[in-house]
Amino acid sequence: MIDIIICISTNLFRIYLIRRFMQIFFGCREEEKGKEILVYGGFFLINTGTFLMFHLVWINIICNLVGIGLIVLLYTKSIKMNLFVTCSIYLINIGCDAVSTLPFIEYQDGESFTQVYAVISVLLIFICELFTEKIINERKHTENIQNFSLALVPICSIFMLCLLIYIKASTVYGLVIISVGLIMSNFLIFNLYNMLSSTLSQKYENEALRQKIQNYSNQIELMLQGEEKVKALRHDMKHHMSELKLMAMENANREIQKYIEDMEAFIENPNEIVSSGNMEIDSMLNYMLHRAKKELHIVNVKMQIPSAVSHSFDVNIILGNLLENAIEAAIQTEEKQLDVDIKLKQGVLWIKIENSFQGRLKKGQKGLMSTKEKAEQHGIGLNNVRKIVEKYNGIMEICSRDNIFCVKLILYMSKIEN
Amino acid sequence: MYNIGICDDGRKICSFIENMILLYMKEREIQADTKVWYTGEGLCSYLRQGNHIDILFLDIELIELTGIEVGDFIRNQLENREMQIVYISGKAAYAQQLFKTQPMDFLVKPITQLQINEVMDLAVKIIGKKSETFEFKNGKEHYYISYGEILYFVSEGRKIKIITPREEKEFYGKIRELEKNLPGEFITIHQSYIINKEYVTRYTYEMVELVNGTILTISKANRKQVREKILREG
Repeated sequence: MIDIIICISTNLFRIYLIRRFMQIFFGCREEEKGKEILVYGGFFLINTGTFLMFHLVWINIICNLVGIGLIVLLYTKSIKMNLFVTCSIYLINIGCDAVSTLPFIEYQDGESFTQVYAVISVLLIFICELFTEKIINERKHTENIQNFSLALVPICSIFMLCLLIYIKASTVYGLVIISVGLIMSNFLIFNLYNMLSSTLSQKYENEALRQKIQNYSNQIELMLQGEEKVKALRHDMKHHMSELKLMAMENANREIQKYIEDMEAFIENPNEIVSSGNMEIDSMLNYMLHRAKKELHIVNVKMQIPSAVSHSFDVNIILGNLLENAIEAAIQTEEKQLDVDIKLKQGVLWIKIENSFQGRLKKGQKGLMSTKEKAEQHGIGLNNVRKIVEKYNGIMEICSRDNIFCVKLILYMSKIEN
Repeated sequence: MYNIGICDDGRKICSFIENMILLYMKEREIQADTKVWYTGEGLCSYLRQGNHIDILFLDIELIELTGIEVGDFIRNQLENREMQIVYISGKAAYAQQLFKTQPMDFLVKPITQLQINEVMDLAVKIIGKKSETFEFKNGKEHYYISYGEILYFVSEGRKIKIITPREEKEFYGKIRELEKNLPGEFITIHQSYIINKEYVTRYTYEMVELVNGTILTISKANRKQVREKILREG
């Protein structure tokens, strides 16, 4: 009876871990929830059932392999991928099983044995899962990288269990209760950690959205200002015309020129720095560059993009983060210089941002970090940029020469169907 | 000797640009012939008669036929890919279609001498590169073809084919050997393709599309390298 309880709980945890593995390999998927529950549930029932009834190795192996294979089938249609994922997950499973049971008992096929070892086994699988996640996430440069300290939780649990079994300090019942308790606390800690990190990323998204709204309201303000001025000019048009006509009659060329220049200056909106016609990108750039113009001496902007660029949301995140960093760094220098060059050529969006900087770069773990105080935030910013660049198969290059810091990147904007 | 065209509905602007170009040519001691049109129609009929222009300064907001239509006419009806088109306009907002006509650059009015100098420098450099010739042997005879005419090279067995907009030629050779002797605007995207970057309309990470509509695959081994080249030479 006790064995059955442990068996069910360890099996549940194991299936939860298999699901985590799937998410590592294939990413989170929201659709087809029903199908997912059906497959995982079915796997759980059949697996537990056959295990409890037969206690036979070959039935277990087949049941596990087929089950995991079916689960993988939910995510991918490629047979090669399926075989790889199924086998590697099963290998981890069987390896952990062996490590956790063989030192303690002599296993004979067909015999049942106390299931406490299964607890150690799932905890081992859990550790493996954490490490796989860490390795794969690191390769993909995503944040949300689990801390190694999280892996300490199952390691400690295993240690405690082994010790209890080894010194025979507890009755079998006690052992069972402790095992179940450990599994539950492991699961809860892990889940809480996940919830925490998802809240954090949500918070970050909210921040980005707020920034966007601010950009928009700024842009609308600019447009209204422009409109006002045109209205005022139109209102005074008659007056201007007669003024100009008089000057022309007197052949006062210089004065006419001056007058027209004044009119131009009047109509020009000093706050509207870029006007590519792409509302989303214009609003972001105007907002950022407005600040740049106020605080810096030299701001050069060259922009050659069509008024409709695809993926402008992502492009904006890139520009926003890079410009913020660039302006921040340029303010601290004497030259106070910023050059922005954005163009679309041959289906490739090309962005170059250069700023003067105080020639000290710290090489952080994940590339370059600035010397600014909010280093943490900075890291997130650049990381986000890198993530988006990689999403479009692009590439980013950071370099510096003679107090000029330069970020260059390309994104592939179009798709070619073969 | 360069043939330079200027097309803008503003007469003053035209002569302004013309003067700046003439000044540039005088400073660099380059021979050039400039022609001016005030309408897109005039320019188009001049080109239709088979006349040749190397560098064209084209206003986007012309009266009847717009700059976009003229650009489209040059690239798609005349199938002229060699002409260097520089769009000029009053505002920096550009329509999507403009980017499909492979413009060399955009200038926003008022245009300065410095901008004209930069644009002309680049255009002269590109045209200069295009007129250099590639030499190959077929049998006992030597052939010459200017790099500017070559869309791409493709290897087929022991032969290499040269693909130009008009014809195909072939010679015996290896892509690996050929690659070493080509100028910088040629990049190897596959063990059997070397393309001329000037004639690419679209890049993706996996493929390139050329001006004549040909789509070629960038092999997995070359993708990173090609991407870096695009980044460097943007």
